[in-house]
Amino acid sequence: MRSLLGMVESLLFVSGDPLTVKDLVKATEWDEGAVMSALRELQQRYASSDGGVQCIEVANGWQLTTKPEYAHIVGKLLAPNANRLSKAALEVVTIIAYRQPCTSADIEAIRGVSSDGVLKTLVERELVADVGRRQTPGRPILYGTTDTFLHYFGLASIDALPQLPDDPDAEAAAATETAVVKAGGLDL
Amino acid sequence: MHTAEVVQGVLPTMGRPSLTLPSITLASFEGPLDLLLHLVRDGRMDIFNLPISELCDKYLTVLHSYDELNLHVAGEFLVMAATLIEIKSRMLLPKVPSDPPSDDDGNGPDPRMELVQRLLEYSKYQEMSEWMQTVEGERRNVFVRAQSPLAPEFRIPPQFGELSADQLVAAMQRILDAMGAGERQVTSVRRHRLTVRLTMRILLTRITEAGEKGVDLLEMITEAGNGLLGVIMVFLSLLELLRSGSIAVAQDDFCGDIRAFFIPEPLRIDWTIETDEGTDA
Repeated sequence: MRSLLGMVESLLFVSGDPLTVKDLVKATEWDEGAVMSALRELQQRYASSDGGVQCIEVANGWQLTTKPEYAHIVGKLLAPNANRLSKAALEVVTIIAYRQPCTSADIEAIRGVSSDGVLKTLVERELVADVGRRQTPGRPILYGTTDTFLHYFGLASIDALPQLPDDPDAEAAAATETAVVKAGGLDL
Repeated sequence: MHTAEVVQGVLPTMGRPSLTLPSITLASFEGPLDLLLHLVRDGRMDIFNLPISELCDKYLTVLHSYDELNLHVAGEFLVMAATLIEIKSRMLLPKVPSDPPSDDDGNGPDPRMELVQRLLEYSKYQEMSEWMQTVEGERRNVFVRAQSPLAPEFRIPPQFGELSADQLVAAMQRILDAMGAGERQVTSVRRHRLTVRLTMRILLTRITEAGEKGVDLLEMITEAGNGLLGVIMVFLSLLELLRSGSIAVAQDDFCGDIRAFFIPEPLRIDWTIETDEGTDA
């Protein structure tokens, strides 16, 4: 007896890395809706069991991980391989996450201090990457976040970032936009 | 947010902190804006009505509390000091009633405006970076498996374009290791009449003759003859033939045979075309 739930579970189990719904559809030959509901069901089952494994949505895919409540146990077995990010690195990666694509100068303008060293570290750790050039004099490198970034912070996708704290400008802009939409759009 | 503790030994040239102030070292701040935000929060100042004179004095006192400023580190802090003094002096100037009045009070634009905007902007990202730190910590509490270490006979096929040149080098290294490269002592060196050009011609003839069936890539390498040098020559020749577009390689299944096919002249792709943008970028 085979179930789609079992198929999805077995695929996630062998993969280790997150699998996208597309990967799962391709392997199971079921449609996306069915795979999605199997994933939700699987997630639910793991969550309600007292086992040590959970099924989470991360980096635009799905992955089996250990449950956070067993962290201290697993931590006894494994030694950390990389340090946590410094305060400066966190600030820079946050700015890039919200403002991407953005240049080193954009980051410096916000932080009021040169961020090139920190940026280099972030590129080395593959949390951010060169995503192109701004078409302005000097053609500065534009940086954006990577899949590794989503992995590292356990985010399902870049849209999973919370809203920036109330930004009067953004609210005003959004209000204007809504007003324009309500008025039937701009005549361009 | 900031622990106002002295981080001793981080920047020895910074000297000792003043006794009249809570001990703060510049090294514990991520630049002048960070220090300003700390002072604003610490002094419970209203950011929308910033007591610029008070802030400026506090900021300068912190800077002055160092006997010796490391210019390399403190340059940005000094620029901010100058900005603060400038704003302060502009605030002290008597207000000239401008006509037409530029805002409701009949005053010019508030000189503090730009600084307040920057502080607000920066504090937003600081706030979010604290959230990021929290999720970073949470993420480090869940563990994932490495890819199937229990079943070395299987692996998940790499996506197209996912392999790097390093992996090609590693694959070549495995072939050379299997042939016992680096294990022999060289006692005499003979001249080999073997060139990449010659090997390329031999391979191309063989691949052309094979026609649509193609030639097995591994077969070509293992049957190279002439020992290690032969294998290296075949490897280099294949790379060169692929680069020139004279041959193509194809693999039907993952881990299946890789076969090389001859590509007739008119069907070749000219790789030189797209380098234009590559060199420019």
